[in-house]
Amino acid sequence: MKSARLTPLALLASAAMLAGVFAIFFVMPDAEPPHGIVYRIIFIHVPSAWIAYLAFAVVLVGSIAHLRNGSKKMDWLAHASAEVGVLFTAICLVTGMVWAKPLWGAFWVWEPRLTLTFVLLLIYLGYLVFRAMGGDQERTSRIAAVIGITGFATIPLIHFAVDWYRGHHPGRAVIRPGGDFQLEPEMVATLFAMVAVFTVLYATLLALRIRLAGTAAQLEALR
Amino acid sequence: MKKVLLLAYKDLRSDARSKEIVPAMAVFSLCLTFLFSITLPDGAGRAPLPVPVAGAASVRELAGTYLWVSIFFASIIGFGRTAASDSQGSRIEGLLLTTVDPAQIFFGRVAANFVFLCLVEVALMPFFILFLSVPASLLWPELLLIALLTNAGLAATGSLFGAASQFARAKDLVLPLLMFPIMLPVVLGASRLTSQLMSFGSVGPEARWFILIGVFDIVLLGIGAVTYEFVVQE
Amino acid sequence: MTHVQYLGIAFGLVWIGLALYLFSIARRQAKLEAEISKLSARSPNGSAGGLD
Repeated sequence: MKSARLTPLALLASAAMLAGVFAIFFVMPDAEPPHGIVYRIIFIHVPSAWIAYLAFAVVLVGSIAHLRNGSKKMDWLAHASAEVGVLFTAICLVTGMVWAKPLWGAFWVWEPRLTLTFVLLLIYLGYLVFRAMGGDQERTSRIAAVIGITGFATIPLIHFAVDWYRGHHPGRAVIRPGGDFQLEPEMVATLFAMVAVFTVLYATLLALRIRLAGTAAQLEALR
Repeated sequence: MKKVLLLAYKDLRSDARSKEIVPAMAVFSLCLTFLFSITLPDGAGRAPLPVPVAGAASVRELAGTYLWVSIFFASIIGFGRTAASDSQGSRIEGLLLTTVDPAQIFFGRVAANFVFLCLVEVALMPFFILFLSVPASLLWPELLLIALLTNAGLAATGSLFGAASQFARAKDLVLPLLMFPIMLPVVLGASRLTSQLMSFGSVGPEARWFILIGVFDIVLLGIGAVTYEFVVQE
Repeated sequence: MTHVQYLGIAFGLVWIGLALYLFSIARRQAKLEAEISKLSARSPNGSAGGLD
Protein backbone atom coordinates (compact mmCIF):
# COMPACT_ATOMS: atom_id res chain seq x y z
CA MET A 1 0.00 0.00 0.00
CA LYS A 2 2.27 2.77 1.18
CA SER A 3 5.42 0.66 1.11
CA ALA A 4 7.50 3.43 -0.35
CA ARG A 5 6.75 5.69 2.58
CA LEU A 6 7.10 3.04 5.25
CA THR A 7 10.86 2.72 5.20
CA PRO A 8 11.63 6.36 6.00
CA LEU A 9 8.94 6.28 8.67
CA ALA A 10 10.40 3.14 10.23
CA LEU A 11 13.87 4.63 10.13
CA LEU A 12 12.60 7.78 11.77
CA ALA A 13 10.91 5.75 14.48
CA SER A 14 14.05 3.76 15.17
CA ALA A 15 16.20 6.87 15.33
CA ALA A 16 13.71 8.57 17.60
CA MET A 17 13.59 5.62 19.95
CA LEU A 18 17.36 5.42 20.17
CA ALA A 19 17.55 9.12 20.88
CA GLY A 20 14.88 8.72 23.50
CA VAL A 21 16.61 5.90 25.29
CA PHE A 22 19.84 7.85 25.23
CA ALA A 23 18.12 10.86 26.77
CA ILE A 24 16.45 8.74 29.41
CA PHE A 25 19.59 7.05 30.58
CA PHE A 26 22.39 9.46 29.97
CA VAL A 27 20.93 12.91 29.97
CA MET A 28 18.44 12.78 32.81
CA PRO A 29 19.75 13.13 36.33
CA ASP A 30 18.83 10.82 39.16
CA ALA A 31 15.85 11.84 41.23
CA GLU A 32 15.89 12.06 45.01
CA PRO A 33 15.19 8.95 47.10
CA PRO A 34 13.10 6.83 47.16
CA HIS A 35 12.73 7.28 43.44
CA GLY A 36 16.39 7.30 42.60
CA ILE A 37 17.09 5.52 39.38
CA VAL A 38 13.79 3.72 38.96
CA TYR A 39 11.81 6.85 38.27
CA ARG A 40 13.11 6.74 34.71
CA ILE A 41 10.35 4.26 34.01
CA ILE A 42 8.09 7.28 33.94
CA PHE A 43 9.49 8.17 30.54
CA ILE A 44 7.95 5.03 29.13
CA HIS A 45 4.95 4.69 31.44
CA VAL A 46 3.32 8.08 30.97
CA PRO A 47 3.86 8.54 27.23
CA SER A 48 2.59 5.04 26.53
CA ALA A 49 -0.61 5.92 28.40
CA TRP A 50 -1.12 9.05 26.31
CA ILE A 51 -0.49 7.20 23.08
CA ALA A 52 -2.89 4.46 24.13
CA TYR A 53 -5.61 7.07 24.56
CA LEU A 54 -4.66 8.55 21.22
CA ALA A 55 -4.93 5.13 19.63
CA PHE A 56 -8.37 4.52 21.09
CA ALA A 57 -9.52 7.95 20.01
CA VAL A 58 -8.46 6.97 16.51
CA VAL A 59 -10.49 3.78 16.91
CA LEU A 60 -13.46 5.98 17.75
CA VAL A 61 -12.94 8.20 14.71
CA GLY A 62 -12.42 5.23 12.41
CA SER A 63 -15.47 3.49 13.79
CA ILE A 64 -17.73 6.47 13.33
CA ALA A 65 -16.40 7.07 9.83
CA HIS A 66 -16.90 3.44 8.94
CA LEU A 67 -20.50 3.53 10.10
CA ARG A 68 -21.24 6.71 8.24
CA ASN A 69 -19.93 5.78 4.83
CA GLY A 70 -19.02 2.11 4.95
CA SER A 71 -15.40 2.91 4.17
CA LYS A 72 -13.23 -0.20 4.38
CA LYS A 73 -10.09 1.83 4.99
CA MET A 74 -11.67 3.40 8.04
CA ASP A 75 -12.43 -0.05 9.30
CA TRP A 76 -8.82 -1.09 8.79
CA LEU A 77 -7.76 2.03 10.63
CA ALA A 78 -9.99 1.24 13.58
CA HIS A 79 -8.88 -2.37 13.82
CA ALA A 80 -5.20 -1.53 13.47
CA SER A 81 -5.38 1.28 15.98
CA ALA A 82 -7.12 -1.00 18.47
CA GLU A 83 -4.32 -3.54 18.18
CA VAL A 84 -1.56 -0.99 18.57
CA GLY A 85 -3.52 0.66 21.34
CA VAL A 86 -3.73 -2.60 23.25
CA LEU A 87 0.03 -2.97 22.83
CA PHE A 88 0.68 0.45 24.33
CA THR A 89 -1.82 -0.17 27.11
CA ALA A 90 0.03 -3.36 27.97
CA ILE A 91 3.30 -1.45 27.98
CA CYS A 92 1.79 1.15 30.28
CA LEU A 93 0.49 -1.55 32.63
CA VAL A 94 3.71 -3.54 32.73
CA THR A 95 5.88 -0.49 33.35
CA GLY A 96 3.41 0.70 35.95
CA MET A 97 3.56 -2.62 37.75
CA VAL A 98 7.33 -2.87 37.66
CA TRP A 99 7.55 0.66 39.00
CA ALA A 100 5.01 -0.03 41.71
CA LYS A 101 7.10 -2.78 43.25
CA PRO A 102 10.13 -0.73 44.33
CA LEU A 103 7.90 2.24 45.02
CA TRP A 104 5.10 0.71 47.07
CA GLY A 105 6.32 -2.79 47.73
CA ALA A 106 3.72 -4.56 45.64
CA PHE A 107 3.39 -5.25 41.95
CA TRP A 108 -0.25 -4.32 42.05
CA VAL A 109 -2.11 -1.63 43.91
CA TRP A 110 -5.67 -0.54 43.35
CA GLU A 111 -4.52 2.88 42.36
CA PRO A 112 -7.14 4.58 40.18
CA ARG A 113 -4.89 5.13 37.18
CA LEU A 114 -3.47 1.64 37.12
CA THR A 115 -6.94 0.18 37.55
CA LEU A 116 -8.36 2.34 34.78
CA THR A 117 -5.56 1.25 32.47
CA PHE A 118 -6.38 -2.36 33.17
CA VAL A 119 -10.05 -1.82 32.38
CA LEU A 120 -9.01 -0.08 29.19
CA LEU A 121 -7.08 -3.20 28.28
CA LEU A 122 -10.16 -5.32 28.93
CA ILE A 123 -12.40 -3.14 26.78
CA TYR A 124 -10.20 -3.29 23.73
CA LEU A 125 -9.18 -6.87 24.20
CA GLY A 126 -12.89 -7.55 24.05
CA TYR A 127 -13.02 -5.55 20.83
CA LEU A 128 -10.20 -7.61 19.33
CA VAL A 129 -11.66 -10.91 20.50
CA PHE A 130 -15.00 -9.98 18.98
CA ARG A 131 -13.37 -9.15 15.68
CA ALA A 132 -11.50 -12.43 15.71
CA MET A 133 -14.69 -14.37 16.36
CA GLY A 134 -16.90 -12.56 13.93
CA GLY A 135 -18.43 -14.55 11.15
CA ASP A 136 -19.61 -12.41 8.30
CA GLN A 137 -16.94 -9.82 7.59
CA GLU A 138 -19.03 -6.80 6.81
CA ARG A 139 -21.30 -7.25 9.75
CA THR A 140 -18.36 -7.84 12.07
CA SER A 141 -16.82 -4.56 10.98
CA ARG A 142 -20.02 -2.69 11.58
CA ILE A 143 -20.70 -4.17 14.97
CA ALA A 144 -17.06 -3.79 15.99
CA ALA A 145 -17.43 -0.10 15.18
CA VAL A 146 -20.35 0.10 17.58
CA ILE A 147 -18.27 -1.60 20.25
CA GLY A 148 -15.40 0.77 19.59
CA ILE A 149 -17.66 3.78 19.98
CA THR A 150 -19.32 2.51 23.14
CA GLY A 151 -16.01 1.56 24.71
CA PHE A 152 -14.51 4.98 24.24
CA ALA A 153 -17.65 6.74 25.45
CA THR A 154 -17.55 4.92 28.75
CA ILE A 155 -13.92 5.72 29.52
CA PRO A 156 -14.62 8.94 31.45
CA LEU A 157 -17.37 7.20 33.38
CA ILE A 158 -15.10 4.32 34.29
CA HIS A 159 -12.43 6.81 35.31
CA PHE A 160 -14.75 8.39 37.87
CA ALA A 161 -16.13 5.07 39.02
CA VAL A 162 -12.70 3.61 39.71
CA ASP A 163 -11.53 6.82 41.33
CA TRP A 164 -14.48 7.11 43.67
CA TYR A 165 -14.76 3.46 44.53
CA ARG A 166 -11.43 2.88 46.16
CA GLY A 167 -11.65 6.07 48.15
CA HIS A 168 -8.84 8.48 48.79
CA HIS A 169 -5.83 7.43 50.80
CA PRO A 170 -4.08 10.65 51.74
CA GLY A 171 -0.70 9.03 52.14
CA ARG A 172 -0.87 7.68 48.63
CA ALA A 173 -1.48 10.85 46.74
CA VAL A 174 2.05 12.09 47.11
CA ILE A 175 3.71 9.24 45.34
CA ARG A 176 1.36 8.44 42.48
CA PRO A 177 3.41 7.55 39.46
CA GLY A 178 3.27 10.06 36.73
CA GLY A 179 4.03 13.42 38.11
CA ASP A 180 3.33 14.03 41.74
CA PHE A 181 6.93 13.95 42.73
CA GLN A 182 9.33 16.72 41.88
CA LEU A 183 9.62 17.00 38.14
CA GLU A 184 12.51 19.12 37.01
CA PRO A 185 11.86 21.13 33.85
CA GLU A 186 14.31 18.98 31.88
CA MET A 187 12.36 15.92 32.92
CA VAL A 188 9.16 17.50 31.65
CA ALA A 189 10.92 18.27 28.38
CA THR A 190 12.06 14.67 28.04
CA LEU A 191 8.58 13.49 28.89
CA PHE A 192 7.11 15.47 26.03
CA ALA A 193 9.93 14.36 23.79
CA MET A 194 9.09 10.74 24.58
CA VAL A 195 5.47 11.43 23.75
CA ALA A 196 6.66 12.58 20.34
CA VAL A 197 8.86 9.49 20.01
CA PHE A 198 5.97 7.23 20.89
CA THR A 199 3.71 9.05 18.46
CA VAL A 200 6.11 8.29 15.64
CA LEU A 201 6.34 4.72 16.84
CA TYR A 202 2.56 4.48 16.94
CA ALA A 203 2.28 5.90 13.44
CA THR A 204 4.79 3.37 12.16
CA LEU A 205 3.11 0.39 13.76
CA LEU A 206 -0.26 1.65 12.61
CA ALA A 207 0.93 2.01 9.04
CA LEU A 208 2.40 -1.48 9.08
CA ARG A 209 -0.78 -2.95 10.46
CA ILE A 210 -2.98 -1.13 7.97
CA ARG A 211 -0.79 -2.38 5.17
CA LEU A 212 -1.36 -5.87 6.50
CA ALA A 213 -5.10 -5.37 6.40
CA GLY A 214 -4.87 -4.08 2.86
CA THR A 215 -2.86 -7.10 1.80
CA ALA A 216 -5.38 -9.44 3.40
CA ALA A 217 -8.17 -7.72 1.48
CA GLN A 218 -6.14 -8.06 -1.70
CA LEU A 219 -5.87 -11.78 -1.05
CA GLU A 220 -9.59 -12.06 -0.45
CA ALA A 221 -10.31 -10.31 -3.72
CA LEU A 222 -8.14 -12.79 -5.57
CA ARG A 223 -9.97 -15.79 -4.14
CA MET B 1 -44.16 7.78 18.42
CA LYS B 2 -45.04 6.87 21.96
CA LYS B 3 -47.62 4.50 20.59
CA VAL B 4 -45.12 2.62 18.49
CA LEU B 5 -42.81 2.41 21.44
CA LEU B 6 -45.52 0.92 23.55
CA LEU B 7 -46.47 -1.47 20.81
CA ALA B 8 -42.96 -2.77 20.44
CA TYR B 9 -42.67 -3.01 24.17
CA LYS B 10 -45.89 -4.93 24.58
CA ASP B 11 -45.02 -7.16 21.72
CA LEU B 12 -41.78 -8.16 23.32
CA ARG B 13 -43.20 -8.51 26.73
CA SER B 14 -46.14 -10.71 26.04
CA ASP B 15 -43.79 -13.03 24.32
CA ALA B 16 -44.08 -16.60 25.52
CA ARG B 17 -40.37 -16.62 26.20
CA SER B 18 -40.75 -14.13 29.00
CA LYS B 19 -42.27 -16.92 31.01
CA GLU B 20 -39.08 -18.94 30.68
CA ILE B 21 -36.52 -16.21 30.96
CA VAL B 22 -37.53 -14.47 34.15
CA PRO B 23 -37.73 -17.60 36.31
CA ALA B 24 -34.42 -18.82 34.90
CA MET B 25 -32.72 -15.51 35.66
CA ALA B 26 -34.29 -15.39 39.08
CA VAL B 27 -33.21 -18.88 40.07
CA PHE B 28 -29.72 -18.27 38.76
CA SER B 29 -29.29 -15.07 40.69
CA LEU B 30 -30.76 -16.78 43.71
CA CYS B 31 -28.13 -19.49 43.49
CA LEU B 32 -25.39 -16.90 43.25
CA THR B 33 -26.73 -14.93 46.17
CA PHE B 34 -26.99 -18.09 48.22
CA LEU B 35 -23.43 -19.05 47.38
CA PHE B 36 -22.10 -15.61 48.20
CA SER B 37 -24.09 -15.32 51.39
CA ILE B 38 -22.73 -18.55 52.73
CA THR B 39 -19.27 -17.06 52.74
CA LEU B 40 -20.35 -14.16 54.91
CA PRO B 41 -20.73 -14.37 58.70
CA ASP B 42 -24.17 -14.65 60.25
CA GLY B 43 -26.21 -11.53 60.49
CA ALA B 44 -23.87 -9.75 58.14
CA GLY B 45 -26.54 -7.25 57.24
CA ARG B 46 -27.72 -6.46 60.70
CA ALA B 47 -27.15 -3.47 62.96
CA PRO B 48 -25.08 -0.89 61.13
CA LEU B 49 -21.60 -0.09 62.31
CA PRO B 50 -21.16 3.52 63.43
CA VAL B 51 -18.01 3.82 61.40
CA PRO B 52 -16.75 1.33 58.84
CA VAL B 53 -13.51 -0.34 59.90
CA ALA B 54 -10.71 1.47 58.14
CA GLY B 55 -8.55 -0.63 55.82
CA ALA B 56 -10.71 -3.73 55.98
CA ALA B 57 -13.52 -4.48 53.63
CA SER B 58 -16.61 -4.20 55.69
CA VAL B 59 -18.82 -7.22 55.48
CA ARG B 60 -21.62 -4.91 54.48
CA GLU B 61 -19.52 -3.70 51.57
CA LEU B 62 -19.15 -7.25 50.34
CA ALA B 63 -22.82 -8.00 50.79
CA GLY B 64 -23.81 -4.96 48.77
CA THR B 65 -21.45 -5.99 46.01
CA TYR B 66 -22.62 -9.59 45.94
CA LEU B 67 -26.18 -8.53 45.30
CA TRP B 68 -25.27 -6.60 42.20
CA VAL B 69 -22.80 -9.14 40.93
CA SER B 70 -25.59 -11.70 41.06
CA ILE B 71 -27.91 -9.39 39.18
CA PHE B 72 -25.19 -8.65 36.65
CA PHE B 73 -24.60 -12.30 35.84
CA ALA B 74 -28.30 -12.98 35.71
CA SER B 75 -28.70 -10.13 33.26
CA ILE B 76 -25.99 -11.53 31.03
CA ILE B 77 -27.78 -14.85 30.85
CA GLY B 78 -31.17 -13.29 30.35
CA PHE B 79 -30.17 -10.74 27.76
CA GLY B 80 -28.21 -13.30 25.84
CA ARG B 81 -31.41 -15.31 25.61
CA THR B 82 -33.67 -12.45 24.61
CA ALA B 83 -31.24 -11.32 21.94
CA ALA B 84 -30.93 -14.88 20.65
CA SER B 85 -34.66 -15.24 20.39
CA ASP B 86 -34.82 -11.90 18.62
CA SER B 87 -32.39 -12.94 15.95
CA GLN B 88 -33.71 -16.46 15.58
CA GLY B 89 -37.28 -15.38 15.18
CA SER B 90 -36.32 -12.81 12.56
CA ARG B 91 -38.59 -10.55 14.49
CA ILE B 92 -36.32 -7.60 13.99
CA GLU B 93 -36.04 -8.04 10.26
CA GLY B 94 -39.80 -8.10 10.15
CA LEU B 95 -40.09 -4.95 12.19
CA LEU B 96 -37.48 -3.19 10.13
CA LEU B 97 -39.44 -3.94 6.99
CA THR B 98 -42.29 -1.90 8.35
CA THR B 99 -41.63 1.76 8.94
CA VAL B 100 -40.60 1.32 12.53
CA ASP B 101 -37.59 3.36 13.53
CA PRO B 102 -34.73 1.10 14.69
CA ALA B 103 -34.24 3.31 17.71
CA GLN B 104 -37.76 2.48 18.78
CA ILE B 105 -37.13 -1.21 18.33
CA PHE B 106 -34.12 -0.72 20.56
CA PHE B 107 -36.10 1.10 23.22
CA GLY B 108 -38.74 -1.57 23.08
CA ARG B 109 -36.09 -4.21 23.67
CA VAL B 110 -34.56 -2.17 26.49
CA ALA B 111 -37.93 -1.69 28.13
CA ALA B 112 -38.66 -5.40 28.00
CA ASN B 113 -35.24 -6.30 29.41
CA PHE B 114 -35.69 -3.65 32.06
CA VAL B 115 -38.95 -5.19 33.16
CA PHE B 116 -37.41 -8.67 33.26
CA LEU B 117 -34.68 -7.38 35.54
CA CYS B 118 -37.17 -5.69 37.83
CA LEU B 119 -39.12 -8.90 38.13
CA VAL B 120 -35.97 -10.84 38.90
CA GLU B 121 -35.03 -8.38 41.61
CA VAL B 122 -38.47 -8.48 43.16
CA ALA B 123 -38.09 -12.23 43.38
CA LEU B 124 -34.54 -12.01 44.69
CA MET B 125 -34.90 -9.30 47.30
CA PRO B 126 -36.73 -11.32 49.96
CA PHE B 127 -33.95 -13.90 49.87
CA PHE B 128 -31.26 -11.27 50.01
CA ILE B 129 -32.93 -9.81 53.08
CA LEU B 130 -33.35 -13.27 54.51
CA PHE B 131 -29.85 -14.64 54.00
CA LEU B 132 -28.10 -11.55 55.19
CA SER B 133 -30.56 -10.52 57.87
CA VAL B 134 -30.75 -7.05 56.47
CA PRO B 135 -33.40 -4.91 58.09
CA ALA B 136 -35.60 -3.96 55.16
CA SER B 137 -36.20 -0.52 56.60
CA LEU B 138 -32.56 0.31 55.93
CA LEU B 139 -32.91 -0.41 52.26
CA TRP B 140 -36.21 1.21 51.47
CA PRO B 141 -36.78 3.49 49.60
CA GLU B 142 -33.35 4.32 48.23
CA LEU B 143 -32.75 0.80 47.02
CA LEU B 144 -35.62 1.28 44.62
CA LEU B 145 -33.87 4.20 43.00
CA ILE B 146 -30.61 2.29 42.88
CA ALA B 147 -32.34 -0.65 41.25
CA LEU B 148 -34.19 1.46 38.68
CA LEU B 149 -31.08 3.30 37.58
CA THR B 150 -28.96 0.17 37.53
CA ASN B 151 -31.54 -1.84 35.64
CA ALA B 152 -31.76 0.88 33.02
CA GLY B 153 -28.01 0.76 32.50
CA LEU B 154 -27.88 -3.03 32.42
CA ALA B 155 -30.84 -3.23 30.05
CA ALA B 156 -29.47 -0.60 27.68
CA THR B 157 -26.03 -2.16 27.45
CA GLY B 158 -27.38 -5.69 27.44
CA SER B 159 -29.80 -4.98 24.61
CA LEU B 160 -27.12 -3.41 22.45
CA PHE B 161 -24.37 -5.91 23.14
CA GLY B 162 -26.78 -8.82 23.24
CA ALA B 163 -27.74 -8.08 19.68
CA ALA B 164 -24.09 -7.53 18.80
CA SER B 165 -22.96 -10.84 20.24
CA GLN B 166 -25.45 -12.78 18.12
CA PHE B 167 -23.14 -12.49 15.13
CA ALA B 168 -20.01 -13.75 16.79
CA ARG B 169 -19.02 -17.36 17.04
CA ALA B 170 -18.93 -17.96 20.78
CA LYS B 171 -21.98 -15.83 21.53
CA ASP B 172 -22.29 -16.79 25.15
CA LEU B 173 -18.70 -15.84 25.83
CA VAL B 174 -18.66 -12.65 23.85
CA LEU B 175 -21.51 -10.99 25.71
CA PRO B 176 -19.99 -11.11 29.23
CA LEU B 177 -16.57 -10.25 27.80
CA LEU B 178 -17.96 -7.10 26.22
CA MET B 179 -20.32 -6.14 28.97
CA PHE B 180 -18.09 -6.48 31.97
CA PRO B 181 -15.71 -3.55 31.49
CA ILE B 182 -18.46 -1.30 30.18
CA MET B 183 -20.78 -2.01 33.10
CA LEU B 184 -18.16 -1.26 35.70
CA PRO B 185 -19.47 2.21 36.63
CA VAL B 186 -22.95 0.84 37.16
CA VAL B 187 -21.98 -2.27 39.11
CA LEU B 188 -19.49 -0.38 41.26
CA GLY B 189 -21.97 2.40 41.84
CA ALA B 190 -24.82 0.13 42.77
CA SER B 191 -22.54 -1.84 45.08
CA ARG B 192 -21.19 1.19 46.87
CA LEU B 193 -24.63 2.77 47.21
CA THR B 194 -26.15 -0.43 48.56
CA SER B 195 -23.31 -1.01 50.98
CA GLN B 196 -23.60 2.54 52.20
CA LEU B 197 -27.31 2.05 52.58
CA MET B 198 -26.84 -1.13 54.56
CA SER B 199 -24.26 0.48 56.80
CA PHE B 200 -25.89 3.78 57.50
CA GLY B 201 -29.45 3.69 56.28
CA SER B 202 -28.85 6.54 53.89
CA VAL B 203 -26.44 7.16 51.05
CA GLY B 204 -24.97 10.39 52.31
CA PRO B 205 -21.76 11.42 50.52
CA GLU B 206 -22.01 8.57 48.09
CA ALA B 207 -25.04 10.16 46.45
CA ARG B 208 -22.83 11.31 43.57
CA TRP B 209 -22.93 7.74 42.29
CA PHE B 210 -26.57 8.33 41.35
CA ILE B 211 -25.41 10.99 38.95
CA LEU B 212 -22.74 8.75 37.50
CA ILE B 213 -25.15 5.90 36.91
CA GLY B 214 -27.71 8.33 35.52
CA VAL B 215 -25.22 9.77 33.06
CA PHE B 216 -24.18 6.27 32.10
CA ASP B 217 -27.79 5.36 31.39
CA ILE B 218 -28.30 8.38 29.18
CA VAL B 219 -25.07 7.78 27.27
CA LEU B 220 -25.78 4.11 26.67
CA LEU B 221 -29.37 4.68 25.69
CA GLY B 222 -28.24 7.37 23.31
CA ILE B 223 -25.54 5.28 21.70
CA GLY B 224 -27.87 2.31 21.48
CA ALA B 225 -30.62 4.34 19.86
CA VAL B 226 -28.25 5.63 17.20
CA THR B 227 -26.26 2.48 16.50
CA TYR B 228 -28.81 -0.31 16.97
CA GLU B 229 -29.73 -0.29 13.31
CA PHE B 230 -26.12 -0.96 12.37
CA VAL B 231 -26.03 -3.92 14.65
CA VAL B 232 -29.21 -5.63 13.47
CA GLN B 233 -29.52 -4.71 9.85
CA GLU B 234 -29.02 -7.02 6.89
CA MET C 1 16.23 -6.82 43.66
CA THR C 2 18.04 -3.62 43.04
CA HIS C 3 16.42 -0.69 41.42
CA VAL C 4 18.60 -1.02 38.40
CA GLN C 5 17.28 -4.52 37.92
CA TYR C 6 13.69 -3.27 38.03
CA LEU C 7 14.56 -0.64 35.48
CA GLY C 8 16.18 -3.26 33.31
CA ILE C 9 13.17 -5.56 33.53
CA ALA C 10 10.78 -2.79 32.62
CA PHE C 11 12.73 -1.68 29.58
CA GLY C 12 13.48 -5.26 28.61
CA LEU C 13 9.82 -6.24 28.67
CA VAL C 14 8.85 -3.20 26.64
CA TRP C 15 11.43 -3.97 23.97
CA ILE C 16 10.42 -7.61 23.87
CA GLY C 17 6.77 -6.66 23.52
CA LEU C 18 7.49 -4.29 20.66
CA ALA C 19 9.71 -6.80 18.94
CA LEU C 20 7.13 -9.56 19.26
CA TYR C 21 4.43 -7.38 17.76
CA LEU C 22 6.65 -6.29 14.89
CA PHE C 23 7.61 -9.85 14.14
CA SER C 24 4.04 -11.03 14.23
CA ILE C 25 3.02 -8.37 11.71
CA ALA C 26 6.00 -9.19 9.51
CA ARG C 27 5.22 -12.90 9.65
CA ARG C 28 1.57 -12.41 8.76
CA GLN C 29 2.51 -10.01 5.99
CA ALA C 30 4.99 -12.45 4.49
CA LYS C 31 2.47 -15.27 4.64
CA LEU C 32 -0.18 -13.21 2.88
CA GLU C 33 2.20 -12.03 0.19
CA ALA C 34 3.30 -15.59 -0.44
CA GLU C 35 -0.33 -16.64 -0.90
CA ILE C 36 -0.97 -13.76 -3.24
CA SER C 37 1.98 -14.49 -5.47
CA LYS C 38 0.98 -18.16 -5.50
CA LEU C 39 -2.55 -17.34 -6.59
CA SER C 40 -1.59 -14.80 -9.22
CA ALA C 41 1.07 -17.16 -10.59
CA ARG C 42 -1.63 -19.75 -11.17
CA SER C 43 -3.87 -17.41 -13.14
CA PRO C 44 -1.55 -15.18 -15.13
CA ASN C 45 -4.27 -12.82 -16.23
CA GLY C 46 -4.72 -12.04 -12.57
CA SER C 47 -8.29 -10.83 -12.56
CA ALA C 48 -10.55 -12.36 -9.92
CA GLY C 49 -14.10 -11.21 -10.46
CA GLY C 50 -15.02 -9.46 -13.64
CA LEU C 51 -17.51 -10.00 -16.34
CA ASP C 52 -16.32 -13.33 -17.65
